[in-house]
Amino acid sequence: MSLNDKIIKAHQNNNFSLLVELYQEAAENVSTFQEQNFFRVQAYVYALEVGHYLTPILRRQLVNDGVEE
Amino acid sequence: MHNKTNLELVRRHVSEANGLPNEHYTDPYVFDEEKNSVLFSQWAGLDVCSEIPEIGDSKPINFMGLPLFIIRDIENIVRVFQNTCRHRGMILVEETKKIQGAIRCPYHSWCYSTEGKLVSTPHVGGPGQNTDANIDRSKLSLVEIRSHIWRDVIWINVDGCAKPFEEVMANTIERWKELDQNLYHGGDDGKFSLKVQSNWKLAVENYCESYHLPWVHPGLNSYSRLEDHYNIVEYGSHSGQGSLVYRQLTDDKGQTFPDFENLSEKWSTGAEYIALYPNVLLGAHRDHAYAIILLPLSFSETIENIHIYYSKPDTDPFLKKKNKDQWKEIFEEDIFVVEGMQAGRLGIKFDGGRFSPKMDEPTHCFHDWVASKVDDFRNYNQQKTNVTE
Repeated sequence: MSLNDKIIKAHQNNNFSLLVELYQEAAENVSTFQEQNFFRVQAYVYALEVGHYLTPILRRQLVNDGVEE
Repeated sequence: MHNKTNLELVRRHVSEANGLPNEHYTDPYVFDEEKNSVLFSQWAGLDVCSEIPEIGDSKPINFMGLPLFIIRDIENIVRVFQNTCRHRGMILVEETKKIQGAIRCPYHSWCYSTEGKLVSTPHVGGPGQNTDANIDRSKLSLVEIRSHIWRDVIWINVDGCAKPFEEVMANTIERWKELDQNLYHGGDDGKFSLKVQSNWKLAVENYCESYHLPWVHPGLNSYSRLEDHYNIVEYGSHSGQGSLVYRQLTDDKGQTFPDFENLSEKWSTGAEYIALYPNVLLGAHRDHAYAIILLPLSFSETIENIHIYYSKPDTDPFLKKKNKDQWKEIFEEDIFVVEGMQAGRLGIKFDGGRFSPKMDEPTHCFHDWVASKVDDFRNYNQQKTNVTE
């Protein structure tokens, strides 16, 4: 199953913890800074929602990149 | 222009007064006027804390058309918020659920902490950019509704202008100060709901008088006679009834619920039932208590949410079930009365009714309170109009 299909399936199942992982993976597979941050933001939002243990790390990454407060 | 109802007759002494005019039960305009003057401007009951027992628990509630949600925040504080995202006005919490981390708007995923702070605005500055110079998160927290907890009930003052809860309810708090003890919700066997085709005020009116007991609750009357009851009347505050012959429920072995601690002699055989205006009906006994929260759905439809409490956390399940069934039967016996009074108010020549000065003073006390709040609201609006002109 492609990463895209996995993400769609995780959305369908409301599996937000899995989405945190899948969007991080997506961020690693794109070439531009903007694309990377788009997927990191996606991962961060779902991490926020489920209180994921990676939330502070994801946030720090975005803050360091100047895209989050 | 809608004609205002005449409340002068209502505010007379009980011996001369008439009840609230029909329109207070049958007219959507007056229902809306009372929403603002009697419910949003006072301390109204919304729900109970036991409905959200754990950190992160949240529950949406529609209170007279106002979308709200209650939540137990990360610091274990129960809060009430308007259930509306500060971005596009989307409903945030659509069902009872546990918030694990943040409250995420299902539309554009703006995220709020359980304390209501806006914590992230994804892609607000374009793809991958969560900030924008024009979006000041500190000014975009969820709108919190002023709230207070007493006897597990979540009381709200929507307009934020009422005097502090302890001041407004001082008489009742003082009256029941010895009952101010830990209350343990009866769980699934400690709650039930009834939906009645009646204006919410009729449920209050029926609750606070004992006059109807021999006719509507003949079972109760076999041991709790009319003459064993007394009126509780505090104009401007609350009213209700007391009983001198409360009899504890027992199981097959004669076991009862454990008592609340250090109660005075009065409570050995006493019970009190108080309507705390506008919409909360409380009952207190030596071994259990309850709260009924009335949620008006329209001028002629009301939900009654009943919650029963005990003095200890793990009371006998058999007795709890028996107690719940007993109260449910009693409250169901009242349904035909409140629905019948609602239907009777379609009689266009009904004049609000005459009160028995001896038996109906608790009801008049409530009418007088409603009329005073509506009067205050009208006077305030008139003053505002005068200033504008």
